[in-house]
Amino acid sequence: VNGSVADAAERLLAGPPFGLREKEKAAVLLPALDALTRHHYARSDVYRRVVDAAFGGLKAEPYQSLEELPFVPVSAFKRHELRSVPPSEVFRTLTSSGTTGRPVSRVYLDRDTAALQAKALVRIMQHFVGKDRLPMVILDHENAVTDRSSFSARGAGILGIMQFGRKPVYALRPDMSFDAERVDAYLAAHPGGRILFFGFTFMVWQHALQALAAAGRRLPPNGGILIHSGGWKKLEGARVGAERFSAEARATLGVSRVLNFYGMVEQVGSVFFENESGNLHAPVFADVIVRCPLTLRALPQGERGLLQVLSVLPRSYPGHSLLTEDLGEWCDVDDEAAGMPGRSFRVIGRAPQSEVRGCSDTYVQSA
Amino acid sequence: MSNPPDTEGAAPITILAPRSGIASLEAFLEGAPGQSRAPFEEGRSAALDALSRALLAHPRLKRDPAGASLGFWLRRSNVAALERDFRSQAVPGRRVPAGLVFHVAPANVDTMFIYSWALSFLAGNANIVRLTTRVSPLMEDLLVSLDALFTSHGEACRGNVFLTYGHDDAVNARLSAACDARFVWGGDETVARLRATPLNPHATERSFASKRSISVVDAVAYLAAKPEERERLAGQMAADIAPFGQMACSSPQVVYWVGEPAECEKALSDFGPRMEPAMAAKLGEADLGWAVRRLDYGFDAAARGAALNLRHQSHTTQVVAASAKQAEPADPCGVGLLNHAALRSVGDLVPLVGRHHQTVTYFGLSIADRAKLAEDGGRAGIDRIVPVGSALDFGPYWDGFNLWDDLTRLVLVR
Repeated sequence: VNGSVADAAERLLAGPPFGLREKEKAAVLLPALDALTRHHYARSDVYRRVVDAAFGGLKAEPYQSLEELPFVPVSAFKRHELRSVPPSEVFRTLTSSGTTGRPVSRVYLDRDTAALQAKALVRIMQHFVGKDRLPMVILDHENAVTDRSSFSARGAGILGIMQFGRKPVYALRPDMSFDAERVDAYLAAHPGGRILFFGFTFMVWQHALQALAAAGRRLPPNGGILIHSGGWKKLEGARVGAERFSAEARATLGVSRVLNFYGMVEQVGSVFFENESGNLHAPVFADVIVRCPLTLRALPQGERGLLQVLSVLPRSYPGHSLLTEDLGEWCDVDDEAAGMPGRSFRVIGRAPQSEVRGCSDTYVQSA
Repeated sequence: MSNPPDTEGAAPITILAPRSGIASLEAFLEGAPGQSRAPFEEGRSAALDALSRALLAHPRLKRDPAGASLGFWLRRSNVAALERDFRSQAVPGRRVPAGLVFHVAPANVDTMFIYSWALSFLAGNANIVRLTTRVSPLMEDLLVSLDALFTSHGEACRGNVFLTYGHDDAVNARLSAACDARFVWGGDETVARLRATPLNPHATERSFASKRSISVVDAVAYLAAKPEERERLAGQMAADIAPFGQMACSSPQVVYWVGEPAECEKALSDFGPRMEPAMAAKLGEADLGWAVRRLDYGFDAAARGAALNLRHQSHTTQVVAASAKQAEPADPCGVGLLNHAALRSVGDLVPLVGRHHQTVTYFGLSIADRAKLAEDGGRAGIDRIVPVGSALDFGPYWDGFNLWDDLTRLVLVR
């Protein structure tokens, strides 16, 4: 691996995950991402073609701002093999948990990248949960992680977070029903202790909070933390927003904190947690840019556009600068109230899908 | 057919126009025989003229490019031109209407159901027009105007009905058994589905499979054109691709520049920047979903190695293909994206076209170029060679067929 690329990431991971103000951060991030751009350009044909066609090639002189760096749309991971290491060095392939029949993202990790991701996650989790590993209840079932050769995003997410808990137990049965006996026994074995709960937003709501409510049950107050991720889209139908979700989670699971994070399989480890203001916060080794989908221009604070996520972690695949399909806006820079310097943002939802009626759908989609 | 009728998802039949006066489809079918008229009967030409005036006075339709085009197409002078064309065809006898025509209209072009119906209506037929179940606001406005026409021109419009129903092979079978001609628009899957439905042994079928279209511009002719003429060409190109999200079969997806590579490059570098304002003028506010689709498509073409250069703007995306062979996507993007490629000569287009190609729009091609392209490209599959700006002009010669032949029977007289 290119020395300067490795050093920059290591340096950023060595310090506190939220310790830098935006300007100081950009000064460290920019050279690291510049080096990564050159690293991937030299190693991935697909990436090189994208940079050549869409960005007029690699800049000879160093990039002057984060906004100037080339990016790749996340959808490219569904259709192309984006890889910057030979196949023999691929240690694990992550896949997104797509709908059956739809193409899934494939993300190729070598040992170095996987190690960086794990390290990054440790830094962030320790910031929010503390260094002590808490007893942990996973609001999902075991089968989600059993296929180790080809991880889904769900399995990878669970395994990634699981290492921060002690003696983790799965709260759901494979049929998604809530295993009350198992959870009760686990809580009884850890009396008075803070519990770390983790799950995906929709599944936490549907199969834990709703299931417990239907059974008229509440877990004893334990002062613990619920960490959840995965987006609100499926909950829009049920009209469940962040506030209601958090209130019900506190009441039903007996936790005192509920933390949401935004992340994606294409940038595992580079997660954006909610800060005290309820906005998502970029750690020192990552950042976010908002772009107008019409012009691709970088937008100022408060204007909605497509989120572009930057991370120094991806070395084995060109995923260090990705244009997502999520709409959002950035809220604050160095928000003192949030207690953390750096940039924070909000996710508003998915980019609108265009309804394009091709020649051949007179009957096919009409019924 | 041995398969039981597909009743899954069967929706009731909804009669869209006329809104009253037809008790049921069965009642309509019973009365249909004997409803045909002589071709170009005055009452029917007058009815279409009235419809034309209604559309061109409609607050929304007159402002909609597709609605306004339809309004102009239906006006008396154009109907008179269609009549002259119809009557000019030398036939050894007399043309009479086919009888009852069953139209299955496409979902991608909102106004198509009226074009298909109007041609058949003028030929003197009774008509059943099946619309997509997803009636768009534009179609809704057109149906309201049609309903008014059934009231004001009831006698001329008798024997015509516009309806919709869901995924229902039983209804398709009933209408196919009753009709004298079946017109199936809208892509390979619909054609295949209808083709599996038996047709009355006496009836004929005209089906319009999925097609693609392209454009050819002579680089030298473009570079010789004055700036105003270049500007007009961009406006005409925009007129061909702006309506229906560029998803009409006749809207070009690729522009082939003909000339020396340096000339082609120079011509495109002048023409390219003219497209964004031209499209913005046609489309107004840009659509975010369309922009995301273009972005995705453009980056995908780049990642595949099919694109050398990508230029993404609010209403348009310009993709410069790595080679002429790679210029046409398997699955067109539409919504304002044009692929560009260079060719040495018009003849180089011939190996790139097939039976799935419909229209070639052109700028700067000589009569000889067009004749040669019609001969060689025509054998390969091209159906239509028209100037840039005329891609969406509907007429009785479509997809390589003379629709007058399909809409009439010929009574031989000796």
